[in-house]
Order: sequence, then C-alpha cells, then structure tokens
Amino acid sequence: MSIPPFLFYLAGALVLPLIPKGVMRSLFLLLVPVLALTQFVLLPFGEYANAELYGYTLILMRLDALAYAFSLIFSIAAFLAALFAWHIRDTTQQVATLVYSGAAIGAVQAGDLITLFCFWEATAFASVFLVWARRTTGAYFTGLRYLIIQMLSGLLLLAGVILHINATGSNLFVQFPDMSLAAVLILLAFGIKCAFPLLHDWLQDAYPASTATGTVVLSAFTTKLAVYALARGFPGLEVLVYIGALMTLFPIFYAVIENDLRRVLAFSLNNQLGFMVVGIGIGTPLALNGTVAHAFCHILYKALLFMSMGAVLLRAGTTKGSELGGLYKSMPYTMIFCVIGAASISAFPLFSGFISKSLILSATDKQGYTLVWLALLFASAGVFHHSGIKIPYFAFFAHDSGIRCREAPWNMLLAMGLTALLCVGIGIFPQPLYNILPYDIPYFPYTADHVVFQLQLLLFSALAFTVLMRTGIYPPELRSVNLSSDIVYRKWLPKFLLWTWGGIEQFIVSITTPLRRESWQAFRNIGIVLGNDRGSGAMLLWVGVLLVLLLTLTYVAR
Amino acid sequence: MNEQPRFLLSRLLQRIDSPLGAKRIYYVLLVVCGLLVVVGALIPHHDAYGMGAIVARIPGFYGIYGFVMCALLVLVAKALRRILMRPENYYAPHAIDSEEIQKDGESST
Repeated sequence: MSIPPFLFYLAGALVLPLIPKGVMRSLFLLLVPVLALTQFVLLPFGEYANAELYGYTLILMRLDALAYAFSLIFSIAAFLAALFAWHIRDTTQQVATLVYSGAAIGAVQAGDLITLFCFWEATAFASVFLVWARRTTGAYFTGLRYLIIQMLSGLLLLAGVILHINATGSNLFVQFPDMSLAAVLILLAFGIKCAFPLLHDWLQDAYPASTATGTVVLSAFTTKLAVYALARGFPGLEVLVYIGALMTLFPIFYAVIENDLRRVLAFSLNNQLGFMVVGIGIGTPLALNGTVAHAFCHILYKALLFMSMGAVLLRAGTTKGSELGGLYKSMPYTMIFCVIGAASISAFPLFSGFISKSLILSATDKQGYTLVWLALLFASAGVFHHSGIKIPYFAFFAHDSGIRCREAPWNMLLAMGLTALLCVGIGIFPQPLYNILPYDIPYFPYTADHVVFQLQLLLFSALAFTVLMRTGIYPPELRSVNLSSDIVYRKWLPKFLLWTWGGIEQFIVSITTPLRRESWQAFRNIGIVLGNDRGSGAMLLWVGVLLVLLLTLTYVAR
Repeated sequence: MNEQPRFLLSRLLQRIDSPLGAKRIYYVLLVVCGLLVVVGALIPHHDAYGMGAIVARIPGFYGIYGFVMCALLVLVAKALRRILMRPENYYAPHAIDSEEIQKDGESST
C-alpha cells in the first residue's frame, strides 16, 4: 500500500507548527521530501489511490514516465530548498513551502482533470504566501497581482474542465484530441502558468519580490508544473513551436537592461521555458525527451542561480546590479556556485544544460523548423550573455562596490554545493537522466562537432560582451524599472476603473442621496471592508463580471 | 590594494583583478575563439540535420552568428531603454523596486 506523496507534505504542514522552531523543525522540513520520495521512487508504473466522487473516478496517484520524472525532480527541489532555508524561523514560509511543494507533486501525479484542478489552485494559494513573506507594502500588492492572475488561470482551467467533461463524459487527463473550446480554455490556463508571451508578466513581477529563500522555492514548481501539463495535454500542437520560440526571444532583451539580478533570472527562466514549449510543440519522442530532460536540469540550475542571488540578497542586502560588484572578495564560494549555475544554464559542455537543450535543438532542426532553430541558437547565445555573464559579472566582479559582507551561512553553501554537484554530475554523466525519460531513444550529446560548435557560439558571445564592455557601448546598470505589457493592468486599467467607478458612484449618489443617504453609506462601508480603496471595489466588480461570463460560456456550450 | 581578502580564492582572483588582467583575459579569449574556428573547420561533421548540416560547412558560422546576434541583442536592448525605462519608483508603493534595502533581507522571527 503506497500513500500519495502529497499527503506527506500536507500532513507535514499540519504538524509543523507543533514542532519547536530551530534544529528540530529544520530537520523535519528535510525529512518530509525524503519520506514522500520513498513512497513512489521504486514503485512500478501504474495507478494508485483512486477515489470516487459523484460518479467520477479521481486518480490521486498516476505514475508513468512523465509523472515520475517530474515527481522526482520536484522532490529533489523541495529537499534542496529546505536545506537552503534551514536557518529560516518563519512558520508562514515553512508551511507555505510544504503545501506548495506537495501540491505541485500532487498535480503531476493527478490522473484526472478534477484532481489536477484542485492541486492547480492549491499551488497558487500556497505560493502567494512566499511573496507576501517579504512583509512589505510592495510585496503585499505584488502578491495580490500574482494571486489574481493565478486564480484567473484556475478559473479558465475549471471552465475548460467542466466543458470537457460535459462533452466527452471523461475526466481523465490525457492528450486532448482536438482544439475544442474546452481545450482552448485549458490551453490558456496552462499558458498563464507557463508564462506565454503577454501572459508572462506575473513571473518577473512576483519572483523578485519574494524572500531570499522563497524565490528558490517559487522558481522550481509553478512554471514546470505548467510545462508538465502542456506535455501531457498538448504534445505536438504546432502553434506551441512558435509560442515557445517567441518566449525564448523577447525576455533576453529585457534581461540585458534589467537592473535587479533576480529579475534578470526571472527573465531567463521565461526564456528557458520557451525551449521546453518548443519541444512540446514539436512533439516527436526526441523533442519530448528534450523537454522533460531540460525541465529536470533547468529546475536544478535555476534553483542554484536563485540560491546564489538569495545568498547575495541575505548578506549584501540587495540584488541590484547598480549597487553590487566585487563580491568575490567577500563571497568566493557563492561566486563559484553561481558560475556553475551560469555555465549550466548557458549549456557549456560538461554542464547539465548542454545535455538537455541539445535534444530540443536537434529535434527542431530534424523536423525542418529552420527559422525556429536559428531563433533558439540566438536565444542560447543570449541566455549565456545575460545569465551566464551578466549575473556573475555584475554581482561578483565589475567595479568594486565597496560592499564587504560575510560569506553565506553553511546551510546555504551546502545546498548550493549539492545543487552544483548535481548540475555538473548530470552534465558529465547524462545517462541516468536519459534513462528516466519517457521515450527510449539513444542520444549522444558529446560528439566532437557538437562540442566545438557550442563552444564557438558561447565564447564568441563572450567576446561580444568583452568588446562591448571595452568600447563602453554596453549599457550600464541603472536603477530603473522597464515597462512591459503589465502596464495595462498596473497603470491603465486601474486609472480607467477609478475613472468609471467614480462616474458610476457619482451617478448613484446623485439619484440616491435624496432617497436614502444612510443605506448608501452602508453600501460604501461594505466596500471599505472588502477592500481598502475604490480600486479593490472595482476589481471585485470585474471578477464578478468574469464569473458571469464563464457561467454564460458553460450554458452556451451545452 | 593593501586590503587582503580572507579567502585564498579571493586573493588569487584579486591578482588578475586589474585593467592589465582584463586585457590579458581578452587576448586569451581572442586566441581561443580563433582556435575554435580552426578546429571546427577540421573535424568531421555527422550529427547535424537540415540547416545544421548546411551551416556546419561554413567555417566559424556558430562563432560569427553568436558574436553578431549578441552585439545586436545589446544594441537593440539599449535602444529599447529609451522607450521602456522609467524611474525606479514608477509603480511605488505597489511594487518592491524602490523599497528600502534591508540588511539580511528577511525577518527571521
């Protein structure tokens, strides 16, 4: 009898507050992922833990190659993140991390759409506390924006799932056979969590707003859960090739001019998701293997990079490129780990990114997507440029900022060391990873020409960076923010809503004042309770409108 | 430069942390890039399909492509700043960008 792993995390989250803060609790946080892992790591593939609900069978634990690979890497990430956060004494973050990791593992093991939806929402609810954990006004509002967008993804998924079950009578989560309205809604829901172009802003907005340790947790789960869901539901959907290619491209431009190095990492996260989405869109066994392998490696090196910047945030107090520099003198070990993460994401031979990204690039070229292939090459050079060079350079080298701080605490160094070891280990010995991929096809990344061409691409990009630095053309790090499509809901929409709401309010006031001054005041009071300004009231109104719209959709589709 | 960092690694790195050191790294990089082009032209090509097979015959294609595209990337991004860049407090108080820097970043209570 095996227990679904997510139950360990949920039970752990319930028990955790009873354990005294300190070593005991930190040990407990390390233990939960390990115990949960033992429940599935050696199980043969199949379905476990089914439940009946209103005539629908819920599959709480489906293990196949795809679910296995993601469950495994999510468990490893949960363990490493817990080690990285060993020194944290904040119960909110600890509980949120457990629920969030557990829900993500539950979601990839969910065999049906209803279970998937429940975990989909649980990841959103749990993870927002990691943003709020910073406990500043800015983080509070950023968290609200994050939550609303994640909820929107959940609503779309719910609407799609209801339509799908109505149409087909089945709640199984398998590949969607055609692009019905239900499938489109579900694709959109996945697309929001996967940060498709124009649906992506929540990622760069929220991740840098979390705590030094919280961002490491955030970076692992939400977006890769979406990648998993896309790979399960929409493999071979051609439009994803082009969406993915766009995703690899536009974030790298932003990354070059972004000052907050953790936001630079958020942009490169988006760029890496693009590679995975291209792989899903191509949908051949080689490409899908590439997507899974890349997600696996990506979680590790992205966590490593966020860990190194988290350590910098903890010790130096900021991750702004304009304020940093010369940190190699104070934090040399963190610097080494950061460089290993940077080499991995840049796909240097002998590092993990090389053995996973190659599969996707080979598959792209093999299927004849020449332009996309060239775009991916460009994106590879670009990601080296900003994640591989810019991050370590501006944090640890460049001009000396004069910051002298302590090296990261032992637990952070240990977590970074283990993660770095995995990055290099997978890079040198890729076969164990290849063995757990969904399709059994041989692939050899280390051929002479492949290694030499990749080195050419990367070192010439480095050369471009050096030349631009020496000639003074490279844009300096400036304290600034850059506009993105989220200006629509961060500036324009609130302005518009305040304006219209003000108008509506004035109109209502003008006709009701003579009649019932008191009852209008009561209505206002409700508004004040629900939200502390008129903007929130307007937001509620719009959420209501959205719900009505969804309800209408459901009836139309009947 | 009297100050001596605590860590051996830092002290070693400090030796090359000078304009002269940077210049040397630049020249080493130039030489390595040149070597890679030569080696790339000499080795046999087999694992390429489609476009990959075509560009493999152009000596130094990957290098030139990487260099040119990266230079373009930076130039375009720099130009984009004129349109996109706003002061750090543009979204304040609803964003973290301009919030006070906190030493040891988070509450440990």
